[in-house]
Amino acid sequence: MSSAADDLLGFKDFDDIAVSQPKKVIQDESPSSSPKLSMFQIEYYQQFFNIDTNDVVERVINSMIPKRASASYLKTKLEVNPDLYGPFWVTTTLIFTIAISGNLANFFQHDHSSKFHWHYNFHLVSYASTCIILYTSLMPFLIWSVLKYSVDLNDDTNPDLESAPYIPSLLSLICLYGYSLAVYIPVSVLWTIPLLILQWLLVLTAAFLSGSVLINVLMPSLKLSKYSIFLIVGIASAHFVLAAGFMLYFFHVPSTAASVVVNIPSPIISVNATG
Amino acid sequence: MNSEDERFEIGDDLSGNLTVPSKSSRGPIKSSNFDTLDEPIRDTIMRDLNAVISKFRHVLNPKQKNNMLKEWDLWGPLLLCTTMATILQTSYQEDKNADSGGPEFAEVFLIVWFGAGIVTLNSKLLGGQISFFQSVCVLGYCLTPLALSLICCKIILILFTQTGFFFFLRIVISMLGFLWATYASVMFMGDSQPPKRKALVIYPMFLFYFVISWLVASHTN
Repeated sequence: MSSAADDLLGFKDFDDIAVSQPKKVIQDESPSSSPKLSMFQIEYYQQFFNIDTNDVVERVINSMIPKRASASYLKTKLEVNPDLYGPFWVTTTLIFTIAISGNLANFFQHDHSSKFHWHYNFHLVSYASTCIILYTSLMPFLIWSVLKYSVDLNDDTNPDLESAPYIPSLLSLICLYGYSLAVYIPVSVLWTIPLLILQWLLVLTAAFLSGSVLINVLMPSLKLSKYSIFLIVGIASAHFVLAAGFMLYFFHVPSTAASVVVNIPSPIISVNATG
Repeated sequence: MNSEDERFEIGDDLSGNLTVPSKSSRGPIKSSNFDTLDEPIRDTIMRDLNAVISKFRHVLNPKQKNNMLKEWDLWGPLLLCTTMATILQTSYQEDKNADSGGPEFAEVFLIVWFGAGIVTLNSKLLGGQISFFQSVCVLGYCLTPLALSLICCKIILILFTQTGFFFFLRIVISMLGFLWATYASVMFMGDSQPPKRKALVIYPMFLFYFVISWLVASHTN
């Protein structure tokens, strides 16, 4: 663990897990599996899904409630066993919840007495998935690379100490970020209520809750960097901008609904004007 | 049905099985020196068709558990998927707007097959004891209730002018299809998982059917 160069993506850590904690690795499929697995075997990917229902529930709750997770949460829990189950299904669920409730919000705000027929917009799924997947992959990568670039770890500190400085692996950052989006799932259902003040209140609350968890958990590593203040501001504001963007784009309907209604009869008007 | 039971005993383990049953176990043909090479095409087609139909029956009445897992085929899922995609796709004849909002044929097709593939991969990665195509087969056949509710919704859409009541009715119908599909797939696949991870495997199936039932519920002319 002393040389930081070869724990890109944290693969080295996984080999350590397989040796030190054999009881948690699934043994049913291949009892005589060697610790070195090929990238083309399904067992290789099973180590990223080596998690039980209780752990997933615990991680989701930890991502929503500030101060519930200890400061060493990232190092003692996520770093030891980062999973991709949570991030994958949290983002997938969020994509579809936003698309579905965005449509619902549109439906509620649609003037049903008018002649214009309401259509649902399936393509919200593509927009939602693009921005969510970009966020959960780019932000961890940015944080990880800034930390790599700016933190100079001394080799003489004992890496076994819980308080020892360290840089989180890219995989555990992706895990942390994936779970941090979980709070937006119930919020995006509540965003369908067409009250502007309530929508903004939800944006602020959700961004504060999960953003403060993110910063609290990442703080021990962020403090090592000389750009720590920029990183903290960047993480918090990106999280807030994401929430505000969701709300404004998918749920803030009045302006777009009006434009749709106006757009439909406009060709007829222009024909009349020319003719 | 007697012949069906015999054929299910061939693959005793849960592994997939594509082999044509041997002569001795083939029930409906009485003559013992009858070969699949010589049999009328009608018999060949009817045998496969009966297998597909019996699977549909199992889905609609998901009490007997494992019969469906042993001999998988993808005919049923293909049929259901193309039917649903054809009905759900945007019809450009009626609506000349560039973006009328509904999904294309290919989008529905991809959602069904990729969705089933990802849900299956998820259960494999969590350590499930089920082969890939068995799981895709079960997930595909469990679309039957949703396809039925889509057909009901389409009939409602064609016959009646749409009011709030019929919109509500369509939502109820697709929710029923969703609950039925989820219940059936959990009945067939629930046991193939380590008990501690059962919820982790069921959740993606729930999401998969929920998204498809959303497509069904919000489909308009």
